[in-house]
Amino acid sequence: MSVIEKDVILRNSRGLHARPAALIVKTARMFKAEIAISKESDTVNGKSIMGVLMLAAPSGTLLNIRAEGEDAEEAVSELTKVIEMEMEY
Amino acid sequence: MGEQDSFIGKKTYSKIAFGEAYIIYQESHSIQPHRVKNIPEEIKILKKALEKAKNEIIKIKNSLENRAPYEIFAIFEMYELLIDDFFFQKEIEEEILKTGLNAPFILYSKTEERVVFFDKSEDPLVRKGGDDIRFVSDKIIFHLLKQNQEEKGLQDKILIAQKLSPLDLILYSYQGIKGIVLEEGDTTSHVAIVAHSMGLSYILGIPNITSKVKNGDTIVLDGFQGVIYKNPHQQKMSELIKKMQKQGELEQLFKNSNNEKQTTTIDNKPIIIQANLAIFEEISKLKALKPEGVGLFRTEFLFHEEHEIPSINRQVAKYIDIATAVPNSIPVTIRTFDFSADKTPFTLKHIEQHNPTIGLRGIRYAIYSNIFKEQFEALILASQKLSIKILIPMVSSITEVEYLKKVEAEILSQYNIEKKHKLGIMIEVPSSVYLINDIANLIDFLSFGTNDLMQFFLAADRGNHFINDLKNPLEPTFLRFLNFAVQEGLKNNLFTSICGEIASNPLLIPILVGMGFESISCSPFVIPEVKNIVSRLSFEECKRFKDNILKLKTPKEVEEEIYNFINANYPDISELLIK
Repeated sequence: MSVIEKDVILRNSRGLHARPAALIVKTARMFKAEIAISKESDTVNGKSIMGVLMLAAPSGTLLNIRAEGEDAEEAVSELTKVIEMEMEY
Repeated sequence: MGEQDSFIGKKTYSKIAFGEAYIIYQESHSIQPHRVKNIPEEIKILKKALEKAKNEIIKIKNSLENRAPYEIFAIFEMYELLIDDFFFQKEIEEEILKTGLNAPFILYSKTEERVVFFDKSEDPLVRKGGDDIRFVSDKIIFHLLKQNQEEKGLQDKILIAQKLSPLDLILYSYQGIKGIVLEEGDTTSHVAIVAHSMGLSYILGIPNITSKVKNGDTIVLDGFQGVIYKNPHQQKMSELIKKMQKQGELEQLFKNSNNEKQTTTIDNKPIIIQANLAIFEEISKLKALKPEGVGLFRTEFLFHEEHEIPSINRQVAKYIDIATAVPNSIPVTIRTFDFSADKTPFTLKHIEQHNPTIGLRGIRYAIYSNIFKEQFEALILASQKLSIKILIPMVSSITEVEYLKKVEAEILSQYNIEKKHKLGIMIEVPSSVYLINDIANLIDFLSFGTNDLMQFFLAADRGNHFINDLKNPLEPTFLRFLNFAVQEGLKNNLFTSICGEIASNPLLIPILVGMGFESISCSPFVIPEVKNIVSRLSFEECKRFKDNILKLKTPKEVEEEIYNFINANYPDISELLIK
């Protein structure tokens, strides 16, 4: 069972509001791996929209993604793309 | 058929609609805790409600796809994720098992507990997350409390609620509702502007209506009279249906006569018929309505999804989107923000104001804060590529116009570009009428905002019901003042357009044409009608008619004179307008 961890900076200029949060959760749910996202000492389940929303991360926040499971590596790489994406809405 | 009754609200001049009542209760607040006897049964009921609520959300989401703008579709996508969350799917069940209390109460209290975090946030976007969670929770509670009631959806329903936010109304209108009745709000409130823009029939300001009507009651809503009928008896119903058919026939007639040709009177005076818009979503409706321009695009709602004022770049993108989305590249007049303290979707840090209507708003707020400069800059940049006119609200003194010109010059030199936009001011503060002569060489056009002009001229508060009789656009003193103002504009070769509420009232068109307005900017849905009427008028005749009107002494005399004129010239529409 592989565990992959990575620090990623949230790029969306308006922070982790509904739209990017939804995209993160939808992406996380595509994988079998358990996914945890942390902001400083707060850690939430990356597959729970309520959790990700509660991170209330503003733009520029350093987020830590931790995935555990057979497809952990792919999950982290896809989630990195989403977290680093700038969104229109 | 249920008990019949009728209720009076404010006239909105929206067309007749009928349908089944659908009441939106804000019921979760009255839920009390109690122990349940059969816990497994309570959990079964909860699971069923979760499933129904989820299906409902998915159904709405699917119906919105390809029909509503993506921002609106995305909100329901978000709701779907929320209802699948561990919180709703598991935590609520665990709490019921632990406490033995009723599901609606647990759902309500756990939700409130959970949203405290969001409500406390200073970031409006985070607070919005709390609203989203509440919305989903309320949907589940609805199904818990009404297990036996099949959810039929909102298609063709008349929505009845205490109050609604403009965004909620946009969401509902995409689900096919026919009309709305609200306990709160008046005809100049933002929810009214949105209702009008979406082409809905609506009536506002009927106290306690949510407790006087039941789900499933037949409701006929007559915006022209400001009345709703509950389960009308046969005779009344057939009368209303006849009226509705007449409105339908006229609408068809107006639609058929509508074309892209420039509107002129029979004696060939061109009158440019434009649309007033408030939200981006309305643009898609213009193609069928064929306006010759957008005479007023309010920007207070343009960013209703944003909950904060966007950066210059994002604003430029939005203004370019607007000017490219309109059909036939018609010119678009965009008005800078006019936030009055009581109605803004943004959480601007508002200053306590004793009387905000005549306080820091429009250009005054602009000078006070940086928001305006950024918006002005974005508009000037967008107008480099597309036909955009910039309109400034609430101008009352020459210092403001001088300030505008200074900022304009600074922006142009900063980017080293030439002025391609037209700059205009709203005539809505009486003093501005006496400014026209002095500023004519500084600006390009005038746009008359008659709602505010009338309220300030007659010193009659738009929101005060005690003086409703005073707020009459047929008041001869007001018409004389308006006429004087137009002549000031025309004398100085300034393009004069009228965009206030009276421009959407077909009865007043002959007077406005007679005064010499070069453009009428009205609610998009009356464009075909206004075009039809204008194209049957004679300018010379309207001038004489207007001169006669201005000699009259009372609003009543003015009204009678208008009816006489319409009866003589437009017998086919008089039946509808004259009641």
